[in-house]
Amino acid sequence: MPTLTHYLILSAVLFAIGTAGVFLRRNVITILLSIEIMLNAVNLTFVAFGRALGSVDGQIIVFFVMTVAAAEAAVGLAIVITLFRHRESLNPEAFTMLKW
Amino acid sequence: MFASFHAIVPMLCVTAAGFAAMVAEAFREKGEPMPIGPLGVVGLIGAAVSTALLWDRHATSFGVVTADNFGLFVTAILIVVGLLSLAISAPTVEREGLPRGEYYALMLFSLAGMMLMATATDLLVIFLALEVLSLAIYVLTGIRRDSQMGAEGAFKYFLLGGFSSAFFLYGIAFVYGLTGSTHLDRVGTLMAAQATSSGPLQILAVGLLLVGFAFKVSAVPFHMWTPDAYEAAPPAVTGFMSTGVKAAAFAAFVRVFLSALEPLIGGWSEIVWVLAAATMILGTVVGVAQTSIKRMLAYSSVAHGGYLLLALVSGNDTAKGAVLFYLLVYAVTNLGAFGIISVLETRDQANDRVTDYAGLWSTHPTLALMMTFFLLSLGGFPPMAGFIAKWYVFAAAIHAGYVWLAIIGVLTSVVSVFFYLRVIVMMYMSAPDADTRTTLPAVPQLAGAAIVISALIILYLGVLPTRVLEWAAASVSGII
Repeated sequence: MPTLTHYLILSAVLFAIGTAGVFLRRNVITILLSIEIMLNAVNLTFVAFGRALGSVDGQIIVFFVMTVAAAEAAVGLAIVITLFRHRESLNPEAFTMLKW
Repeated sequence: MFASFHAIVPMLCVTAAGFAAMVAEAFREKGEPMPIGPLGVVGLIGAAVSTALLWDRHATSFGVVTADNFGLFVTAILIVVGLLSLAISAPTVEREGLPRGEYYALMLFSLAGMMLMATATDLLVIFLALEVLSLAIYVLTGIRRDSQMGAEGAFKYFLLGGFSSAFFLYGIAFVYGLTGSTHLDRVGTLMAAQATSSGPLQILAVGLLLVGFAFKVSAVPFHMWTPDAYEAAPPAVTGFMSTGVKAAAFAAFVRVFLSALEPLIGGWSEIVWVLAAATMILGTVVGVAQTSIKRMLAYSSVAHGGYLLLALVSGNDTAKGAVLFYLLVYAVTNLGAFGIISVLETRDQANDRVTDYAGLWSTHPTLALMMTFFLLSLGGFPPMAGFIAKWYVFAAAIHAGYVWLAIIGVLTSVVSVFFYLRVIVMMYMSAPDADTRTTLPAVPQLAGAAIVISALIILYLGVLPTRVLEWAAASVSGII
């Protein structure tokens, strides 16, 4: 029987995977996906806490977060498209116009 | 029945103006002139009137937005930021041929998000407001679609912004798990009850929220996006985001950390101490090395975030009042300075190297004089408003016993004077270099008026600050 701790550990692992992805992956689309993984890890935390506390608030919050994540993905992909038009590349190391 | 809407009327006015701008652009015939900027001014005036009417009323909407005087003071700052930004933006929009409806609608939506963030009393609403303002700002940063630098800056800002939002949200999740609520009031009460036995979850909650806020107020070591985004965006947008985002984020920062999480102050005050010291020092030291005025002002804005953190760590009522006054002064000063950078820019040339300002005194004497005012105010010279603002922040820190932090603050502001003065010396004492000299454009009337008004405001606040200081001090009592 999984307990709250199990869910929290699972979501912490997911969050860590997302964080590592942002730093380690060399493709901007994958980096955006990593941020989505982080947000979904947080969603899992909210649902787990909501269940443990016996309230639906946690699950309602998840709907808000999903909406925000969708809006963020839309804006993010639009920015990636403008970026791709200038450089024809998805490697973040190619974007070096701005430095320190 | 409509009583519960009272507290959000200022935001509704601004949002309505934003929608009107969007619809007006959609129905505009090609080439037909339409006063979309003035629509925003109408919305902001509505917001200003409703803010004045709500003053001292302590209205609450739906239990998650409270128009207390603290929130209303920040709303008033944001209205000033909005009006000045609209005036400064007008010539940029014309010159660069930017899509008017999009530009003004995004600016107004982002202002509405900032106002919501300043008055929200629920962590979830603070998060939503943060996203509303950030998403609009990401797009505004990259609004010059033909500019590669704009796209890169917008992407970096977006990436780090989204990343930090996830941390912030994770922090909210732990607060919810600990207290079963996201409402600041209840969080505060329950945190106070648990304060004696602080476990790992509390540390995680506070730490993650702190990372989220530190990103938004560009505190060191989370400031990497600041110079890039500030340099890439059109200067009018930079002026808007460097002041508006800071005001909104610091309002929420003060609300969350000095009310809901105040019971845990022993746990976070030392971390914020280190953040404040690092932010002041790095912002100043790296600022000295910059050759572009925009990047110099970006690092100066990082350093100013450090002074505000110094007030935050002091945590007493004097400090909260000092934060409000500082935010107002910083907003007007920085907008004025970026306004000048914005009017000196041409379509193909940014004209933002320090050497481009050589001999400005002989070509544009009024602009040079105004720039001198703004830079002296940023450096904290009397009789400019920046002096009074810094004075109050340092006084609050010493009063709270953070003498070393105040000393670091004073030392870094002395160093920062070096790079502000370098520009001033350049403007007055060097002759323009004949070879690299670019002809600077004539100043548009509206933006010029906004710049002069900003300068008058900082002179007024520097010479006769008492009334506004009293307002700021009075608005911090009863903050939720």
